[in-house]
Amino acid sequence: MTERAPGDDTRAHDREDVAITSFSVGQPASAHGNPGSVAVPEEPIAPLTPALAMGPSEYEAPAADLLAQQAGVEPKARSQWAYARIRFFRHKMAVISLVVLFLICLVAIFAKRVAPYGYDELDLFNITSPPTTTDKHLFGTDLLGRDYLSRVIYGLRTSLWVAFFVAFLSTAIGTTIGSLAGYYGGATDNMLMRFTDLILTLPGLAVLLTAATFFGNGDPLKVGVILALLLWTGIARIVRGVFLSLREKEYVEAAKASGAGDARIILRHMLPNALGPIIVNTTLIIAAAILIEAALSFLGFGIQPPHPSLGTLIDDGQGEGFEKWWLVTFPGLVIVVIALSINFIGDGLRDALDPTQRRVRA
Amino acid sequence: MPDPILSIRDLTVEFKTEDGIVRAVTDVSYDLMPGEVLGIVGESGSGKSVSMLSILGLSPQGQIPKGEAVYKGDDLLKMPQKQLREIRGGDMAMIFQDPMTSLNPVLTVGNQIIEALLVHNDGMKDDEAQKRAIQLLELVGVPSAERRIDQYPHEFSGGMRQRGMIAMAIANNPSVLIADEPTTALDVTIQAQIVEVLKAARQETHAAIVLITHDLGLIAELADRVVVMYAGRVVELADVFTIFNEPRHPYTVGLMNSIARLDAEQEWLQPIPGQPPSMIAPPPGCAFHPRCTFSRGRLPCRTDVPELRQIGDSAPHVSRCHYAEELAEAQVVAGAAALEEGR
Repeated sequence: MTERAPGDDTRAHDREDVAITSFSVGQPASAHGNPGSVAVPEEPIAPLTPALAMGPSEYEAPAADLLAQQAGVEPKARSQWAYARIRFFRHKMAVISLVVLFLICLVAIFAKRVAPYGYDELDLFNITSPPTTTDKHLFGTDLLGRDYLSRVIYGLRTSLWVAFFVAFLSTAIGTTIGSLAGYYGGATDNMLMRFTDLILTLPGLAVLLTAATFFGNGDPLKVGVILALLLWTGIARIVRGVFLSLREKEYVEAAKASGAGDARIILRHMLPNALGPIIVNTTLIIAAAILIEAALSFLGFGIQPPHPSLGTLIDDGQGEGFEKWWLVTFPGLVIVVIALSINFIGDGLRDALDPTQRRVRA
Repeated sequence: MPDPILSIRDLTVEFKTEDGIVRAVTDVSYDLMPGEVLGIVGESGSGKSVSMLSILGLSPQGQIPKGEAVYKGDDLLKMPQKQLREIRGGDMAMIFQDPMTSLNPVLTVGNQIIEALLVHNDGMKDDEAQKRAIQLLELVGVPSAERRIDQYPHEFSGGMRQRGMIAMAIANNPSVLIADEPTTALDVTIQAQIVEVLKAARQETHAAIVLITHDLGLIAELADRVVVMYAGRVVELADVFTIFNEPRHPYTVGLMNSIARLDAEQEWLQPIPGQPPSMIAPPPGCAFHPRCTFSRGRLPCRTDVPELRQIGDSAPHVSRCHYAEELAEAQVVAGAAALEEGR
């Protein structure tokens, strides 16, 4: 083996006869570009050999920052989330929808304070009164004389609660299954994805109705669980797809090479990179859950009276015909507004989190 | 002579593809001495990266390499996953080719260095790790490290990112540092800076470095010994001066001739004719013979796979060529002849 101790400095001299030029060693580039030019050199140009010996003090103000300050351009460091936020706020419909949804959520959360009456409070003098601005029943009353505005507000509360619960739970299930399938691939992937396919092939409504009848009992929590167990498949497939592509990324390999375990790679390195599609699909699930819950309750299999949900309210009103239009219209409108605004928010989030998919440049 | 820190014996790596089995690496053996820089040179697809990735259990498709890779008495290829994971990034760290894609875009550079520290040091406190990460960034020449540690990879230029990668790799004082084409994705001035950083990293950690590259300039600058690989096999192994001054394999000679030199009267670069062989159906005999200007169609080249033979008797120098000795005399003449032909 070579007698030379590694790192022997005399080698450099011996080697001059080799004279390779495929890279040039030590071309100290000028650190003072065009004064007054706005162009900021990307690399703080460092003198070559002493660069490593130098303490940080000599480096306090790299050329790039100096130039930028002179030009009055302060380079501002932004994280990816900051850029996403900026892009989201450019999407006008999404921002409006966000405000609307936020207000709706506030109303739902503080239902007890906002609602003029309790949801089962009877006003026997005003049975099935139409909406009036002069009277105390803004949305009218139902067949039993209950204030319809209050019932819609409480119904909203139930529906939103179910929707968010379903979105949370199905996202958790879908993300877990999808990320495991995508990360491990092979047999694991096959097994999990065939299971997902199985769930997808189930006739949704029939299963929902059966499950709701046997386990639901009109309890919002149980209805939510049943919905979540059927709605996670879309997210699982999307997350699996994203993970399949992320798995091949070099930074994942680099993380592996630095000794990170599977859990750390999945949770810290891959999941944050998959968050965009996950968030977008979660918003879509919220909208879907509201609609499905409404449908289920409308069919009488979801939330049971006297507990109002938007679906049960429509169900109550549907037999009453056009004369008592307010019974169907108000809860229906609320459903439409929620579903629409959530879809807009999802749209905005998609544009914000995945700018490559944008159709219109702002 | 000291004991090798990493000893690779008869390493063979195969990939199953739809077209058949690809032998990316065949019977590769070499030793890595403590503290040395071992250069591995070869064309794309010659198996130089795969051989290193596979001994760390990082090669794609999860195929199992055959042979031995003995590190400090343990065979890496037979090691349980958990133990191998502790070695990865701890005792054996890796610097990747493309710094633009090897850092996670959603984590700050500091976070990723700190993570490398925390994974391997149980009970290390966060602020300790933070301090150490700043030290590491300063060591690799990242200016105002306290500020830059909280920045994201997209706020770093290519050269700075590669510095960050090197800081990550040396975070746990590895004894083996694998640099997989560390300068290929960078432009020339930055390459030179990274070479300085690598030298500093080596001084700091006293790690043995495996330098995988096709840049012979980088090899000349850094390497103590050189392994030349062709079609998955080691074709020549010697110290760096011998490789450059007395190459004894036609492929190495071809590589030397294809470098642009300042000192030679030379109008054209001489590429090695032909294409690298298919790894699914490699040519019989010496894998290089279809492109070899010295073989001249001789029968042994076409039928027998040459063995790695000791050349000369001074320094250890092995070559996988039937006619290595002929090269000793023919080299200058052939080089001149080829030059003439090129004109």
